[in-house]
Amino acid sequence: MAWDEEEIRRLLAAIRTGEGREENAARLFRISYPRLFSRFRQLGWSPQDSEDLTQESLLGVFRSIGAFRSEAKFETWLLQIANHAYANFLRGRSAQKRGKKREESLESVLENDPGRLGEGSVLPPRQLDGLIDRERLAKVEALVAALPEQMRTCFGLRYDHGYKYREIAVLMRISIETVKAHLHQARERLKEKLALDLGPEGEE
Amino acid sequence: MTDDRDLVVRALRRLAEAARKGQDPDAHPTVEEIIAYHAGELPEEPHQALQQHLLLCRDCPDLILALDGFARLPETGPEAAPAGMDSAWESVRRRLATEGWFEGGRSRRFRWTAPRYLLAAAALLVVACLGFFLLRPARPLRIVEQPPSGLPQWELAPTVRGGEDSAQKIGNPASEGGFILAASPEGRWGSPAYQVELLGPGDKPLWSSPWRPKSPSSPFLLEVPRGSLSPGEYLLRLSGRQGVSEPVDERRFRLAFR
Repeated sequence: MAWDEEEIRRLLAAIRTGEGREENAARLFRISYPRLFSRFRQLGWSPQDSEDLTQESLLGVFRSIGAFRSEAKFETWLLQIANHAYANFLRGRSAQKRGKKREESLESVLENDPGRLGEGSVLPPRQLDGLIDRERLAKVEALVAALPEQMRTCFGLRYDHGYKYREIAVLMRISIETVKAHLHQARERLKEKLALDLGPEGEE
Repeated sequence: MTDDRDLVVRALRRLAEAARKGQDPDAHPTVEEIIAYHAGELPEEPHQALQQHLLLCRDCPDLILALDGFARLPETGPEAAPAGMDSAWESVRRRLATEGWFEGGRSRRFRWTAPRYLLAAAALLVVACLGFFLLRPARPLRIVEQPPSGLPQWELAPTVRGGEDSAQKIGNPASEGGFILAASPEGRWGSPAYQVELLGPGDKPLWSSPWRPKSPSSPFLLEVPRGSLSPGEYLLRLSGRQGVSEPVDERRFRLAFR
């Protein structure tokens, strides 16, 4: 079914006034479904997940149809609602993963080293700690902690989380140039004060 | 990874660990906050707090990046309708039906036939009119020489001092426009000018005005607009010139409205 803003507008008006609600809602659903479904598929979600996401998004559209401002563009509004459904879906997935990880690590500790449970931690021991010069580590920590807040966040997102420049720019809501400048300055400070060499900057 | 890079990662993780201390590991910004942050609509303080959280969290940055990737729809949909579309509609239809959504159209309850702004303007007008009639200030009492036609007139008798329940009862005096209280001259009158006072319940001063009678036999006439006096006991007092403390005449009356 073709995406026709005029027709969508007519359908929305009819649904809002209650005229042929079911029939008009079915038509609006059939117009919106394919493009929304395609988008989720493009993002790499399975057909089943994409179907669930599209369904939840369109359910949200019907439930909040009274809040749609007639002068607004339907596509923008649909994307806002789909965005919300998508965020809820991702949040649910993350929570599931976190729960699973906790269960797994608890199981592995119970199996391999049950005595550690009494220590109040189920995290694997820090294997690197013994190899690193603690004094030097404390100096690096102090220097990183003293970086300006935005620079430190960029630095952490890059070197700890491993995000790309473009991703850091999105996450921080700043330009890629600013990200690059922050990272350059942070690296320079570490080099200058502690003679640290972080190696080639690598790919963006 | 170089040793130095390793050292930096370790330092960053230790800093993050220290910052996470005492925090609930499952506490994350809400989906609404994440969406608002991504749209640049969070106020400064929560914006900063969320940005700090990104450094400590492994999930929220990915959520923001996923939302960023979902910013628009493809120009066209697939050639053919996706396979599960009909069953998806059936599922949505059933859920909406359970919620009573199909019965919730405005047409079943109330249909706006006029533009909303007209209805809002009409409602405002009604409220304004009601407000005017209910809250308009009562017209003040005023001394008149001739009673306006159509107003009922009540003659106040001189108060008998020391008498039991000496107040004159005036029942339901008000007409549409109010009523007139009249006091005819008595023996002690004769002054060219008076100070007239109206005292309310508890002899509380309500109104006062100088009055110069046209002739020694002219009665005192007070127009009382409707709504300006509430039920209760009143005292009309006439005094001579200023500085003369003894009242010339007093007329006590009690107003009662049905």
